[in-house]
Amino acid sequence: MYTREAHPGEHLSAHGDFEAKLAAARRLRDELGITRPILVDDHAGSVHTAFGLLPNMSWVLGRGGTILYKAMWTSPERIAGFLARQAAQPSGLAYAPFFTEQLELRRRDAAAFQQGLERNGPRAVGEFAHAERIWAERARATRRLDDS
Amino acid sequence: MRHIRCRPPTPLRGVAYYGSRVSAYNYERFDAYVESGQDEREFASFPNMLHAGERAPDGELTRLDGGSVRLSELWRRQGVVLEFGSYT
Repeated sequence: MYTREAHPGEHLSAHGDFEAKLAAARRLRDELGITRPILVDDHAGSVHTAFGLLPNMSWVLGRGGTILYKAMWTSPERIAGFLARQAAQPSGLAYAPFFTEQLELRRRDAAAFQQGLERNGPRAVGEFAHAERIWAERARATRRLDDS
Repeated sequence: MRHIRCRPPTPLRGVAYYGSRVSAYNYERFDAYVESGQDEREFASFPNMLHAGERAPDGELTRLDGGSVRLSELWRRQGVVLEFGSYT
């Protein structure tokens, strides 16, 4: 599902209107070779908002729209593993679903992410660096509170 | 000419302020979006909303290959794997 631009820059700015969003989605499809169906949210991000606004979350919905899996980030391996377990699950009156919650790890590929920012433009690179300083200061402020 | 200082406009419901620009959703500067704390709020809210077992929100989307579709039309007959993202 195509959302707002997470890291706008000189080469791809925030969508000024829905047509710009469609054009950006086409760029994703054509330049990165995405073959899965792409659905484009409206300009205001209505569906993105309803699902929580995170930039790269993933969801598995069962027939009827039941949420089976939700994740802050997307891991193809985790989703594949979940789908395999779902397919292998027995069915019948003797079985009932139950809720679980877990933390997962994701590998952060800093080099690939930096390449992505550079592709968006120097402003995207600079703004992310600034954001990292903001996060670092927040973490220091939290530690100061914890220590006091 | 006399300089007149103006108060910033009253925040509109559903609209976030990032720096000096009003943005309902499509922020222009990632650092301003982070500085506003909106990223922190969104990540903090995620674990506490829409849980497994509940029904997902519905909505209308535009198919890049043409036409439009509601999520409920997709999940009516089969499950759906949904990944959110953008070019950047």
